Amino acid sequence: MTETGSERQHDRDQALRTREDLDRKIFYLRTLLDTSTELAGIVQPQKMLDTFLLMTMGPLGITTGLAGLVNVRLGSGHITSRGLEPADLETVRVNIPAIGLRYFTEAGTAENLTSRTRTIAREGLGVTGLFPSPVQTLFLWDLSGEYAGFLALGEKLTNRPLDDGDEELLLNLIQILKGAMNHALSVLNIQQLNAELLKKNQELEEAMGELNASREELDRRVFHLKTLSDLSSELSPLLDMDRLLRTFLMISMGALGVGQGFVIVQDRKARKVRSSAVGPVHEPVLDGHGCEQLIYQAFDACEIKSLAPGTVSRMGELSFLRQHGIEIDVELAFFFVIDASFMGVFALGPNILASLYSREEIELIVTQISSFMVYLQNARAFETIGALNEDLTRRNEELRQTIADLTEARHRITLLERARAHLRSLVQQEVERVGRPGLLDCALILLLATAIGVLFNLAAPQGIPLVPETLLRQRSATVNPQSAMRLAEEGVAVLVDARPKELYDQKHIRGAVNIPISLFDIMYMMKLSQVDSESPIVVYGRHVSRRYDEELAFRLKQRDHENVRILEGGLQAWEAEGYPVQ
Amino acid sequence: MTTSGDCAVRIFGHRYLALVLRIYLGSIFIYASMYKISYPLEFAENIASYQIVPYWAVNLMAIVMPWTELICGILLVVGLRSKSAVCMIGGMLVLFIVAISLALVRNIPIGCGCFHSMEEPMTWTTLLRDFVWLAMAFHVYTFDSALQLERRFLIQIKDE
Repeated sequence: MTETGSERQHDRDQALRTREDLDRKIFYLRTLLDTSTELAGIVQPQKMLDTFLLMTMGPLGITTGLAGLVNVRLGSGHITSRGLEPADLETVRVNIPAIGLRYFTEAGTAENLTSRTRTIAREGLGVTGLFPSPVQTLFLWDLSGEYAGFLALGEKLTNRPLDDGDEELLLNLIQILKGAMNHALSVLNIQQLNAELLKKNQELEEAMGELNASREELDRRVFHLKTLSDLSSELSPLLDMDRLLRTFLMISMGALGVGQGFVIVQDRKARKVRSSAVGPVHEPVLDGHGCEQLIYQAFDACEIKSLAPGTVSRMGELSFLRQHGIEIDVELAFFFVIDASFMGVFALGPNILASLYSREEIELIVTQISSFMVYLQNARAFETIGALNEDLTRRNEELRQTIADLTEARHRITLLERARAHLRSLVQQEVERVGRPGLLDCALILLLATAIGVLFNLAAPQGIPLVPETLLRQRSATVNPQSAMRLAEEGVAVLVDARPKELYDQKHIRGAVNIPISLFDIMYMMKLSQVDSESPIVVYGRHVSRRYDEELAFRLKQRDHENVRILEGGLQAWEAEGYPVQ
Repeated sequence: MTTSGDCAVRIFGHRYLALVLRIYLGSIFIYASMYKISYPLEFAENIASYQIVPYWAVNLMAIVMPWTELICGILLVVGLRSKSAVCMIGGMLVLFIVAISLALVRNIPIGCGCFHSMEEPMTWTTLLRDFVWLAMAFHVYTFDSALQLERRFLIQIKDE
């Protein structure tokens, strides 16, 4: 029975111890569950350490405790304590870098750093002074990454050292803490990463903003450069000054969105004024004096008063422009100097948006005007070259004409010299010819005499026929000497001597009547008027120069004598027949 | 003797004597041409009376010869082409001499017709006169050099 009772007691004790063990395990498990539950909702490491320390010290009845989270790389960390003096707490806080160095770096410990939890009893802490004296047990563990943690506990209320169960509980709690802490650190890392991401995003947005601003600036620069390029490409082929002004004005206004514009230049050397206006304005008409005054006033209104070549200066006072007939609401005007004798004014009205001109636009206009001045100078140089060329061409033409005149004059002189030599030769020949007679002279004299004589004879009332009329008349009938002799002897025929009286007196046929032609009318009346018209009349008398017989026979026929005959052979034939003469 | 002979030769061959003879001869021919130009019919009869010229050429000769005499006479007087003119005058004188000679030989009773138609019948004196004129013409041809308009003018041009 005793045995049985002792056995029963033993069983009862056994059962009690088992129950106690079970209760204790249940307590531990509940503690672990509570701790796990508490830590699950916490993300802040500091608060987690606080909660963990409370949940650890409470169930184990420990009065003094210290928990910390160390960033090994930075040497910083968070600590929390219960039941520890503030001075001790401060000591530990100061020693955090040393703690990290001592327990969590490879150089500081002989043990390899692992993720396991290490337990160091008071005796193991040594005399480092890193932890205050109340600390009896130190638990060390590593977390993911660069973090590590420690838990320093003092004595229990029961002044009993931690048994295996306590230690196991603590290790389990630490495991839970590690898990929660890893989670919290992960969350914290995520939050930090998120914050960094947000910061980066913000920086990125700022960078994007700057980029956009840079791009806008770049676009504007590109636009300006393109405008300048267009201006250059449009102006470069132009050499006519008026077209140059017009094109520049159109391009500048187009680039800036301006509706009204005006430009004028004055060339003092050439005394020329050129202008161009665009917009709802009348083209201002400025003579040399008016333009001179405008240029002077523009110079006076300039911000930079300089006449150095290439100067482009913005004008401050603009109201005087209207006095010169420039009916533009001028917003912006520039005075520019190409050289001391070539200046101009460029004025622009408000832009389409009615906004003020920006600094960049003004810079663009200045640049455009600078380029424009180069082309103006080129155009003027071209005009000068053109004028010089024209003058040269004219001079060349004059020279060519002079050379031609000289050549012609030389040719003429040569001809004249030849003519002179020829004339001298002719004169020489004439002088020589004067000294001797010439057949040509004789022929000319004869020809002249013939021409004058014939013409005079034709015109004169006493003119004579060129050839004897008897030569053209029909020959009269003839009679031979024998028949004539017979007729004379029979007394039928009348013999008539037609020769002049002197020849008749020398010799004539016996019984012949002398009727000279020159005295025909008288002698006819005297000697033949009684002769019957039908009676035969034998006429003779001719020699080499005259045919008196033919003429007389013609005249007798005119007096109605029908039977008039001419003696064949004349007086010579009569004598040859031996007929009588006297 | 020699000196007087040279002097005589010089005077005989003097150009002014030739000038006088030239003007004389020219004037004679100008005068002679006046009648012939004014009365061509009578002059034609005179030509015909010589019985030398063919009957068909008598009128033409009567028209041309007076003007030839006139032109040659004027040229002689003014000193223009005087050589040619005096040659032609000499030629005409030779012609006249031949004609007169023939007429005299043939005993043709006519006037010479030199100055007008109502002349006395020509004689040997007429022939002699023509010979004298022919000699004058020769003298003019040989020695004439004074107051020749043509020569004066041409020499001036030559000198320039």
